[in-house]
Amino acid sequence: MDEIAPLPFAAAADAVVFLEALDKHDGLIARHRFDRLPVMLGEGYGSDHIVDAEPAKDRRSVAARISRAGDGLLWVTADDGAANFWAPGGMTRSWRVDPDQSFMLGGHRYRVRTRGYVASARASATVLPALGRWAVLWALPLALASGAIVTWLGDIDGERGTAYISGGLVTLGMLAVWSGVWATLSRLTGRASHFLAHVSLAALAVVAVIVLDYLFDSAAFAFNLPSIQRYDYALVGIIVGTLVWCHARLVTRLQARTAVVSALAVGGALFAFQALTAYTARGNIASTATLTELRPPALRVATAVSTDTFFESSESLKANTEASRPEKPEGFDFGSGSDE
Amino acid sequence: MWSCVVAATALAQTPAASLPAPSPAGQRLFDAARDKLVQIRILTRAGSSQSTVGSGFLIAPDGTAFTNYHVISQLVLEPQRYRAEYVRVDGKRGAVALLGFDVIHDLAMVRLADVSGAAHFDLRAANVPLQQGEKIFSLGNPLDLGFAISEGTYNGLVERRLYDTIHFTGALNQGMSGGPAVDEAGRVIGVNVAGTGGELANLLVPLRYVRALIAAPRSTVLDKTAITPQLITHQDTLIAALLDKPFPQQALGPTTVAIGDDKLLRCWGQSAAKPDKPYRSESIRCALQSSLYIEQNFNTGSVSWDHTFRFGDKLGGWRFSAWNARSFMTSSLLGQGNLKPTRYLTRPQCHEDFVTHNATTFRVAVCVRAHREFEGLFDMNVNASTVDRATEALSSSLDVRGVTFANGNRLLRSFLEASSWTK
Repeated sequence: MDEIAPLPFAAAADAVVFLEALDKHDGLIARHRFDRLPVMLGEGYGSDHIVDAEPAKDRRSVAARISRAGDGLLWVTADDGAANFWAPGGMTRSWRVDPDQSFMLGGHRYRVRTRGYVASARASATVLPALGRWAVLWALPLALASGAIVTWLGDIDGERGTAYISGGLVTLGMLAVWSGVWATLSRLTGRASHFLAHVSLAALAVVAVIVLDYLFDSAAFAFNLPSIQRYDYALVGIIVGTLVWCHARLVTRLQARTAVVSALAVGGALFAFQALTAYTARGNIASTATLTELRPPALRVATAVSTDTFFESSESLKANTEASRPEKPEGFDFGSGSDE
Repeated sequence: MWSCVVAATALAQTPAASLPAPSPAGQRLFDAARDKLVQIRILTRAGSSQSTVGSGFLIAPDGTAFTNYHVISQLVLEPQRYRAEYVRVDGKRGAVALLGFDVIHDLAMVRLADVSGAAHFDLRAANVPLQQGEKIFSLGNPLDLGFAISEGTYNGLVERRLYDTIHFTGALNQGMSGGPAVDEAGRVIGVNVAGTGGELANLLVPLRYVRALIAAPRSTVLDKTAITPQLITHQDTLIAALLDKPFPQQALGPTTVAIGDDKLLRCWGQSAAKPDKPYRSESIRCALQSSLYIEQNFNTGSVSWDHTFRFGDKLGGWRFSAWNARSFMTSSLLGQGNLKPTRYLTRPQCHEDFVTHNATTFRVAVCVRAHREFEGLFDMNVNASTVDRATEALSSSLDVRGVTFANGNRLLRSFLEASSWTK
């Protein structure tokens, strides 16, 4: 294991460690203090802590040692195979102690902490350090307000009161379903569902999508960059990837690297899917990525060209379209045509 | 196809509109014309299934006959798949060979096999002009029901047409396309071509275009490659008619915009202003009343444009711009999934920028598709919307089909430069 921040009070000379036996939800069953290192864990009575391995469980990793390495940090080294055909002479694996990370040994779940551990550090706080427990109270209204603003921008008749209500209900419904799934996963892997935290995350993602999409479109207009609109999917992919990463941290307490890789994979897959869908639906996106949004004149930064300049620039369309003449339509039967 | 083609396509049988009972003159003309009329059928080579039916008429004893291009278009475009045959009133049938065609005026000249020495129609002399109100008769095979005659009136030439077209007040039905229209002496004065959607207002191709095709040099190339020069001729005529003099202009709110020459295009106006709404809009739409039929799914040679002035000071700048944007990018070349290559068109390519002229700043997008079958021709579209006022804007769009790039660019530019704020 890596990326473990140095522990407060975890002075190199401090040999006191706590071995915590946990249930499957990481709930504390028993806590054992050891005043010297290394601490040996195993099945035999020669061990500092006896692990009663469950026969039905994988019998690997029944023996382990907690020790302080040359870097001054605590490490767990587990016998991960004993002598067998595949690993003659035995195989071990080691990881640095993470006070929030449990590990399995002989079918039992353990965690190692030191005296410097701050008991109030909670997993949810590592995901939402700046949001606090009641973030849902402002994140959810913010998401609803963002959706309402989008509705308001398109509601030129001012007669669609129901549009605001139905839009809000749809948003709430989607947030409930999405967060419910993640909360269920949280409950299955831990004691708490963290439902409100999941709702807060999803609500903030909704706000991010709406706001950033509007900013993207505004920038496309302001700086005459219509092509950046096609990166809408990248934007959505990144936001969804980040959202999944945050949810995953609440659900599994994944290592940061694993979580980032997972989020990138999800975001990348989403981006690839959307890009492929858009390409299939729109042909060559770049050639037709014309501006789809207009903004008030005050936002325009790009300068305007003369008609001479504009139509001289558009001359390239002739060569570009003629170059694409050999492209054949999908599904058309050219079998009898002379152009074959 | 000229607005509503009378026959050509496979006959989706609808209840036949009953033709008025012919007068004694009509009965006499029909008796005289029976042996000179044919039905033209386009059949698949594979299964000899009937694909298209229309009418035709003999003009020479050697079997030379006329019909519409749109009746035999499949023979031109896909001769490997289709063949043509004629059926005479007495049921005799034979092969049809193509001699020439005129896409612009929707005419085709064919040779009927095994009819040498047959009776044929005479053409009315060019120096005997038709008089408005003169009785004329249309002949053909409506709805594949059998040969028939329809009595009607010559009502002059249709207004607002790029090419002369006879306004025939009388019944025409599907299947009569390519049949002759004759005067009371039985001489051909035109060719049935299209309906207008009106009750009895129908269209005929004037005889002078028939004469022109007869007199034209015979080409040995009678496939789709022969269409391109005709389309280029058409678009030269069209662009010259539009640009030889400055665009007529008209006020639209605090703007001035290009409208069509009243002798060429028809324009409609619309106002959407309600006292209880925080906005109002006024629009003008102009369009050429016809296009050129190439095949059932592809017409070209048309032009249309529209302008919409929007005003919404009660909306505020943000909502107004969002409203205005909705209509800005409804390019006919980009909308409705038209983004992939088709048999006839490449995928579109666009260019856009902010453009200023005459103290007016527009957001302008030009989109272009090249014709895949007819080299050198393009479909072009310009969309423009003013972006220099917070709560009022002029949006303009022009769509032109089947033009050379140079002509298209010239038209788009002239159109854009004809629009600006006036106050």
